[in-house]
Amino acid sequence: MFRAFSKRATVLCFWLTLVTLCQLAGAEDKVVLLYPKIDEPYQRIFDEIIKGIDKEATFSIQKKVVEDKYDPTLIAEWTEKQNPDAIIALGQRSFQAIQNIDAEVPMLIGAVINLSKKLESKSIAISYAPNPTIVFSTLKKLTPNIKTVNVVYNPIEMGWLIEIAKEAAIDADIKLNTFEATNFKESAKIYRQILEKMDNKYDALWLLQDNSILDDRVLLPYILEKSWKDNLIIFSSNLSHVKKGALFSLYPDNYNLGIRIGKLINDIKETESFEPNLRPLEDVKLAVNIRTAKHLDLRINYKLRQQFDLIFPRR
Amino acid sequence: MNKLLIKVNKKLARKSFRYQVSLLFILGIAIIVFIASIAINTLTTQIITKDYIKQGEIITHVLANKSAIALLYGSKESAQDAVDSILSFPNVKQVVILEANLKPLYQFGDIREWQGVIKTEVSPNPVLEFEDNKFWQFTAPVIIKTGNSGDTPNTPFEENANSQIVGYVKVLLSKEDLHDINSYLTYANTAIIILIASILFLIMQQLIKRMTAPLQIFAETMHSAEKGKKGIRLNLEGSQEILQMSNDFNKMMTVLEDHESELEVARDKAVESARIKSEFVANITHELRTPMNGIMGMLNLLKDMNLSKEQYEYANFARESGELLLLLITDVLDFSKLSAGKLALEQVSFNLREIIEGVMFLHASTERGNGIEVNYLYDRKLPLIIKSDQTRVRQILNNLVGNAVKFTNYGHVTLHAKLISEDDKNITIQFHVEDTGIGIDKSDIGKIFDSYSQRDNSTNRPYGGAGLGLAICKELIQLLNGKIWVESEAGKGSQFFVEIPFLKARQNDEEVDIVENLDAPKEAHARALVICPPGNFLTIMEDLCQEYQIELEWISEGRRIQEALQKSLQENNPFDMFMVNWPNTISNIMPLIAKMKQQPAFAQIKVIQFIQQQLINSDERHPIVDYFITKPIKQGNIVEILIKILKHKIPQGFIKPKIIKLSKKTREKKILVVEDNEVNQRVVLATLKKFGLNADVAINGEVAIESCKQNHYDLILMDCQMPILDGYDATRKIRELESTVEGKHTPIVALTANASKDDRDRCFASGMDDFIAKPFKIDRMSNILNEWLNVEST
Repeated sequence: MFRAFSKRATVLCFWLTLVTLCQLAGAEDKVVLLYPKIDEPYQRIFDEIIKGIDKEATFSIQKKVVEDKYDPTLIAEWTEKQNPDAIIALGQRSFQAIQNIDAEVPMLIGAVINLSKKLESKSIAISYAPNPTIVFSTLKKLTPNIKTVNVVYNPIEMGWLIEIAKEAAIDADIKLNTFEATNFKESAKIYRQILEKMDNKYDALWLLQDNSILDDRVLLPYILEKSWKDNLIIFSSNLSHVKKGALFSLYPDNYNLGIRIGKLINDIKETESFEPNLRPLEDVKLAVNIRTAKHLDLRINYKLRQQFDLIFPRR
Repeated sequence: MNKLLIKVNKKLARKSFRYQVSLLFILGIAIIVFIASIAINTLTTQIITKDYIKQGEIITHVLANKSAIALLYGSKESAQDAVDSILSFPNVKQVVILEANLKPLYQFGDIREWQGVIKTEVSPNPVLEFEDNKFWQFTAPVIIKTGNSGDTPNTPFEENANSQIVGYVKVLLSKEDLHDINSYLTYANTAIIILIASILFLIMQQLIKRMTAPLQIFAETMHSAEKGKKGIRLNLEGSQEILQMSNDFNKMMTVLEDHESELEVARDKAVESARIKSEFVANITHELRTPMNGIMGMLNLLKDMNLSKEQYEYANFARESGELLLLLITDVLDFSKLSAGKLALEQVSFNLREIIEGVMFLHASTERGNGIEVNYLYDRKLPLIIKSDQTRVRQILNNLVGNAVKFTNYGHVTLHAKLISEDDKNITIQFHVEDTGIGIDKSDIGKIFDSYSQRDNSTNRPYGGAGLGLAICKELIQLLNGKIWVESEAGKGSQFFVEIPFLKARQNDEEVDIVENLDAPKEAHARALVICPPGNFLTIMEDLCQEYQIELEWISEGRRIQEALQKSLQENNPFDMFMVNWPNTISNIMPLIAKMKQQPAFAQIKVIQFIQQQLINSDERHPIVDYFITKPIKQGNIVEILIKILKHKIPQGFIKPKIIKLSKKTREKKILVVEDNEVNQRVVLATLKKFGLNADVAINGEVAIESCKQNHYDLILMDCQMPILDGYDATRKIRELESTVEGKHTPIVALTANASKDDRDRCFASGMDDFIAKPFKIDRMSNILNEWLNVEST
């Protein structure tokens, strides 16, 4: 009789332990990750970021694809149902999707260029705009003689970045000339003035990722054509500009970005503190147009070249 | 339009086959050319226009792209560069680059005002804003778009493409080239199509010629065959159908020619047969009429001789039988002529009333006619003289009245002659023969006009007759363009209606005898007491009194005579005459009248008795009767008697003297009678003797010529049908003889039984002056003698 009772008690304990462990396992942090369904080559970018997140994360990730024609209400409902501890939104579409979510949880936004207008106080945003400190140090590496950098920006879109750039310029011993413009007409005028006045030895022009004041079909070709003609140094935060003739650009290192995002979430979980902010991209790669460099008579040695992640023109 | 089309259609239908096919082909080609030309031009123009518009849009798009920098910098030079870059495109006539506030930055060309209003929301693509006959006007906004390139979607890292309108461009494109191309295409297309059509037409012409040549030959051959050429055959080459047609035509011609030969033989036989029949009919007419003429003439003469009552009756009976036989012969001959279609009609003026009186009198005189009232009524509106074939009219009336008398045992047979319609030249008269006879079964009414049809064909049939009368009637009426119908019921009498159109004759036609002094009795305004039973005769009396304006008072019983007479006396309105239609044997009318006439007041009243012809010599004649008038009442008789009775009441001048008698001088004239038949000779001589004339006789034409050579005659009465030398040839020879003597012309009057118009014409053609038909009436002979013997008045 005792033997039978003992046997039963053991089984019962086993099951109780299992259940508790499960519950304990269920008590692990859950993060919802929203990312867009998109065609290549962009899907690869998000995959890289997600890979990085996965590698670093100590939390469970509930992934949700945001389709092209998504229903924000459904996204919000689903997210809230998951009862996440944090939400990661990658890409502009996901960022738009989380606007309707009421949950009082930390949100982390990544892989988005235009943020400032809609940034919520409860989110940490990592912009795709490269950190100006890294931009200026790269500039100095490639064109050590440059003393002045001109930049045209839309204060609404990039005001926050320019503030960081101003500080970085001082650290880099560069004079930063900033010009505000809110539309193409204004920016066109300013760009023309800048290009006419630039000294091709000591001045450079920094093109930002801002489609409210710089377009690829009219202004950019004008700028690049003028700079080529006058041997002016033009560098950009937009990778596509390098292909078209800008000297260099810093572009995202998506995998490491993912790792950073993962770390950030881990930190938030551990510290249980969350400080919303907007920060530039730290994880970058370098793309250089060596044809432009040659045209500008820049000396690029082998060692320096080894640091280029992407070279244009492609062979 | 319809009339014109019909006219053109008719005209075309008469053209040759080749012409029609060629015309059809030309029309077809013309229509195809026209339609094809229009279609090709339209399509080509549409395609080219589309291209031009597309080109315009492209030019505008290029300009818009190139203008972006110029607009961004407000640079006129850049704008000019942008414009210059598109001026190399053809047809660009005017260009403008407008800033966002629509202020022109740069314009090239100043041809016209820009049309249209720029909308605030424009299509990002160039649009054809306006067009007219000369220009297209395109417009496009100048947009600066962000994104990787204008048309690819944005990256997933940034917001939607930003696009800003920095200005507008307008391009005016001329349509000159389009119009030039259009004109060129039109001419070229048309020229090519016409060229092809012309070549086709020439080819088709040859083909048509080849195809229609056999048809042409066929038509010509058919034409020759139609003209009567014999032995015509086709020898065509061509398609199967042509060969078949050719063979069939040849067969048909062979058959036709064979038939024609047979028909020719048959025709010749028929013509010969018809000629023989015609000759027979002509001969038999003469052969039958000649002895009949002798019989009738002799009987007429006999009647006028002092015969006993019995002899007179026999002579009359023989005369009547002769008349009926003559009628029957006429019927049979006419029937055969009608059957052969040889009966010819003549148009002569004649006294219709006299014809009717003759017919009624004839049938009233027969044995059957004796026992019934045979009368007639003549519509006063009818003229006395009309124009038609009097022989046929008489024949029709004879047959109808004869038929009615035949089938009426008691009662009456009355002929009504009524006016139906008239105009200036024509008059339609209805003859209505009414009888109280045995009537006709409804089932027999349809058969009565059939030849040889009789009510009772058994040998004991009481009514006699050959059954030709009504059949001939119907044929004759139809020949005269009239109609006949009957209303009858068995046992209730019959009514035959005939309507015939006639021509109106000239007033007072001198050739036609009418009763003289017709109007005289009307002037007397007489009064008559008519005594007769009610019925048909009373109607006759009323009509007669109305005609002569005699006031009529009628009584039907003898016992009323006195009453009537006393009343007339009291009213001081005396009677002029008694008119009695009552057989004396069954009434006491005459004795009553005789008694009344004893009174002085009534002694002067004349008594007229209407009596059957047969009873004129019988006991029916009462001595108190002043005048007997035979029934049916002849107009001449009643007028003569009324004049005699009312002479004292008729104003002077209304009674004209009688026909002039022949003078002594006339009676000395020399006459030659040329007649081969002895009986006829006697008839003519006896008739001439009545006029106090003597005559020589020649038995044939040859003897007549000899007589003329030896004697001078004032008048020759020439028979036409004679042996050795007939009347026609004899006349010609006499005229030849007379031509040698200036001014000599002996009147020659044909005296012949051949009474047709052709015969008369033949007489005149031979040289004769006049014509008298046998059997002739004494009045007619009298007129002839008066005319040709130069009568003087007495």
